[in-house]
Order: sequence, then structure tokens, then C-alpha cells
Amino acid sequence: MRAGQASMAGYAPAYQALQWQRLLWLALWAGVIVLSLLADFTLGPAALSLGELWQALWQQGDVTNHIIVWDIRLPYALMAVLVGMALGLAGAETQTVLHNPLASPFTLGLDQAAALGASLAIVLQAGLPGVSGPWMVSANAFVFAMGSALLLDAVARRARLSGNGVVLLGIATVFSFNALVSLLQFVASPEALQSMVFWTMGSLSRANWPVLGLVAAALLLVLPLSLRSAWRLTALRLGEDRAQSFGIDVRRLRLASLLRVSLLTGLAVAFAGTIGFIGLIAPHIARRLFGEDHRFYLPASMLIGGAVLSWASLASKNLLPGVIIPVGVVTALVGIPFFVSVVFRHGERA
Amino acid sequence: MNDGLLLQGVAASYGRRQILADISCPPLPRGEVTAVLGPNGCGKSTLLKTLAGLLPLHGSVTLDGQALGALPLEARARHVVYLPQSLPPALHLRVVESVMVAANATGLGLASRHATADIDHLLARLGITALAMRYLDELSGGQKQLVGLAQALVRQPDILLLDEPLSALDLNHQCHVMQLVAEETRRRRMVTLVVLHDLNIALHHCHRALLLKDGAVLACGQPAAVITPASLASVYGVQSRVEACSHGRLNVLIDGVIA
Repeated sequence: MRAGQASMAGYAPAYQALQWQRLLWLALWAGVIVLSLLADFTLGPAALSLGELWQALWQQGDVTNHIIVWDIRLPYALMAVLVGMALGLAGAETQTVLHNPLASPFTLGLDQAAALGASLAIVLQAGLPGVSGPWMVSANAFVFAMGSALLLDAVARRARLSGNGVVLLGIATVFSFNALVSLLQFVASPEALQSMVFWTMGSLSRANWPVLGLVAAALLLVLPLSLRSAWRLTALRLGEDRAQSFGIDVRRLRLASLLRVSLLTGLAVAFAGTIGFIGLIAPHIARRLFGEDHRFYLPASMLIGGAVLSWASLASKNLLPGVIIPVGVVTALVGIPFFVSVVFRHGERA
Repeated sequence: MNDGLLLQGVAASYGRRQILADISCPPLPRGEVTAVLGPNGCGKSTLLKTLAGLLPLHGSVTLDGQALGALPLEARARHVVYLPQSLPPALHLRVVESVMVAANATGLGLASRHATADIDHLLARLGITALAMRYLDELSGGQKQLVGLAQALVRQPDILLLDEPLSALDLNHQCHVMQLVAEETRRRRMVTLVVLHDLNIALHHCHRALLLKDGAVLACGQPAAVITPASLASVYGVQSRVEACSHGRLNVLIDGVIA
């Protein structure tokens, strides 16, 4: 304990080097996303070379390639990155405010709430007033995810639940929403049932430019707000009592964070269906590589989420020749073993 | 004349369950450490949380004549720091960052360069400079307590509230932590309250003792006047002696429980 008295070598140079190293890692992950995007642009049922991709981007060469690139490949690949970023950032904030490494928008039931909203639109055509056509499903999903987060927070506040209590409540809502979705599946027509199943599997095929703009705008809005709370969120990791003793209004911090999480998750799920485990995997990798200083942890979770879903998108298009597997299936196949490994690792510590 | 912390009629409750009732004691002066003693569930931690603003306060709490109860949480946090018993597990945050967080969590008006110099100085004083780049989840219990102390001190509080800082520490670390607490309390002219279970630590390292029973004050004053066989029999239900050792220091000897 008194080793420091003997070694007075300042930590400042080492800490400065660490900061640079972290910035380098962030740049590296951004680079990984760019490479993954390039691969995602070119690989698929109709393989394109980088040259063909370049020509198509600048409206030269084959018209078919131009349509494939601008209407399918670019939106699909960019959607993977943006949705992954949204889920990664949302997952990191969720784990922090609930003090639980197994918490994510998925385990809080926000995805299932969105699925229920979407199912209501698909099966019963029940939606928001003034919203119709293809936007009805997405709007319902978004509103249900947001409503579920607010309800969860209200109940948690009223019952003065701890972080673990909120997670348990979230698990209860998962089962409730699943039961209601099953009920809707039971009464659905075969066409509606097929549409529901496809939606709940999670897919990037609904990507288009207006949707991309919306998700990007949400990220541009949320990230600065998250970073503004970075010190407070880091303090919250030291424990609620300690954070409160530092003058932080923990309830307000948690509510603001859950609102950001529900906005990101609601939009992601509204347009891409239920894609699980990104919000769990990305923060874990970020925590191991960057630590829990949220000035780095939050952007790192976001970038890693984007990269992981981009890889999943690549895998979904290329695992089976000529078939695009719903990307939610790929993330679940990778995510479940990851989830179990996290449970075992934390189990050992307990 | 009003220097120090004065508690008058302090009460606190969890919902409908009253934990503290009418806690009053003579002023606790700056530069002194007060041991908060009493059996489990008597309201020691509740008292500290109430003073820190974590629980609603009823009654009067003044520091140098200034009422603390009227201050909003952020303003009160400029004067008071409460350190709970332990840190959450699996906390992957470096020691220096955890101290920076304490300085930056709410606007203390510390310029970053000043704060960095203060953190440097603090870590050196507490003898933990070598731990600065280590992760919190790699530290021993004693090292974590010293880091917690650095987190509290970097906020330059007037009142330092430590909730069982010695639990799970070995004898050497208990003495080391208490010596540092006493030194920093004197140097910074803070009012420090420490929840303790070890009565001998209270006798040897604290200037005052506040003995609680069932949410009320049984005795408050110099440790030797508070920690007596009669008060220990009343509060803990034990037969005891308080005797001076060959160095002249008082020690509590427990003979058994009162049937």
C-alpha cells in the first residue's frame, strides 16, 4: 500500500500516452468500419469489384450496377453501421445507469415492446393517427419502445428500485410483451404472420436514404448529449451513493440516459427489427479495450457496435450463397455464446 | 463561536419507518475526527447519509453557523462528501481517472491544471502515486479505501463522512488509514465523522465519539468519557472493562455478553 512513497515517478506521462493510445484505438475502429463498409458494398449476391463500385458511385458504367450500389448496397451497408452504432451506444449507457453488465435495451424489453407495436400495425392495422402505409409499422415500434422505457423508469422511481430491480422488471416486461406478440401471431392471417416473423428476426432490407438520415440525425443529436454527461456517468459507476454525494442528481441522470437509450433503440428497432446482443457485445469489448472513462467508453461502444453489425451484415449476405439471412439471426448466433461467457465471468467474481 | 458542525433535533426515516429521532450533540469542531458508534441497525449510516443530503433531513444541521439543510444537493456537495463502505465490483476504471471523476463530476470550479496538480499532490500524500495507472478492480481493500479518500479529499470538503472505512482491512491498514484520516482532518480543518465498530480504534485515533442506540444519541463527548462499561452494557449488552495498558493507552476488554 505504501509502495507509492518509494516510487514518486509521476504518472502524468504514462496517462498522456494512454490518452493518445485510446484516440488511436478509436481511429482504428473507425478505420475498421470503413474497410468493413467497402467489403459490404462490394460483396453480395452480385459481386462487384472495387473498380465497378467506384464507377457505379460516380454514375459511370453499367446502369444495373449503379442501381445495385445506390439503392441496395449503400443503404444496406450504411444502415448496418448506423444501427450498430445506435445499439452500441444505447447498450453502454444502459449498462452504466443500471449497474449491470448484462443489461442492454434487449434485456430491458425495449426491443420486444417495439415488436409488439409493429405486430399491432401488421396484424390489426392499428397505428398512430395520421400515420399510414409503410411508416405505420416503424412509427408503432418507435412509440412502443419509447413508451416502454418511460413506463419502466416511472415504475422504478415509484418503487425506488435499484439497478438490478430495473433489470428484473425489464425481464418481466420481455415475457409480457412476448406473450402479447404470440397472441397476435395466433390470430394473424398467414400473410401477416409471415411479415411479423420476418420483422422480428431483424433485417436491414428496409434500409433507404430517408431512414438513414433519420437514424444518423438521432445519433448526431444523442452523442453530444451523452458525451456531455460522460463525467457524471463515470461517477455513477463508482456507486449511486458516492455519485450523489458528489452532487449528482442520479434520478435525473438516469431518466435522461433512458430517454436517449429509448430514442436510439426505438429508431433502430423501428427500421431494422429486433437485432439482439449488439448492445451487450459492443460495450463489453469497449470496456476491455478502453476502460470505463466514459469520455472514451461511450464513443468506443458506438464504433464497435457499428463495426460488429457491419460484420454481421457481411456474414448474413455471404454465409449461404445467394441467400441473405436476417441479420438478427447472425447476431443472436454470435451473441448467445458471448452472453453466456459474460455470465460465467461475472459468476466467478461473485 | 459557531465553528464546527452542530446537529440539533436531526431526524430521518425510510418511508414510514423512522430510523433517527432527535439527534443532537455539542458542536463537533473543525480539525477533529468523531467516531460514530453503535450496534448494527442503530442508524449510523443513516445519520451520515442524511448529513450528506442522500436522505431528506429534518432538524437543523449547521456548519460554522451556516444551515446545510437548506442547500440543494449540488451546493451541499461542495461542503460535504460521503464515502460509502465499498466500491461496486468489476469496476474497470483507472485510479487517477476515478479521482479526476470526483473533481469533475459537478462543477467545483477547479481549473483542470489546478485539479491535476492537486491530484498529483494528493496521491503522493496518501502514498498511492504508484497505483495511479492501475484499475480499481485490481486493488486490495486497503488500497481502495485510500483511493476513496483521495476521491473525497480532491473535492476539498469541509465535512468528511466515512462509512465503515476499516471493514475488511487488516490491522496494519486500519491504523494506516486512520492515521491518514486524522492527519488530513487536522491539516485541512475538516469535520470528520467515521462509522466504526472497533472501539479501540475509536479510543486511539478519534477526538470524539458519538454513541447511538435505537436511532438516538446515548452519549457524545471525548471517547474515554463515552466508551465506558456502563454505556457498552446498555448499547451492546456486553460486560466489559476499559483499562490502561502499560503504555498508558486505554483499551476495551470484553468479558462476555450480559445474560
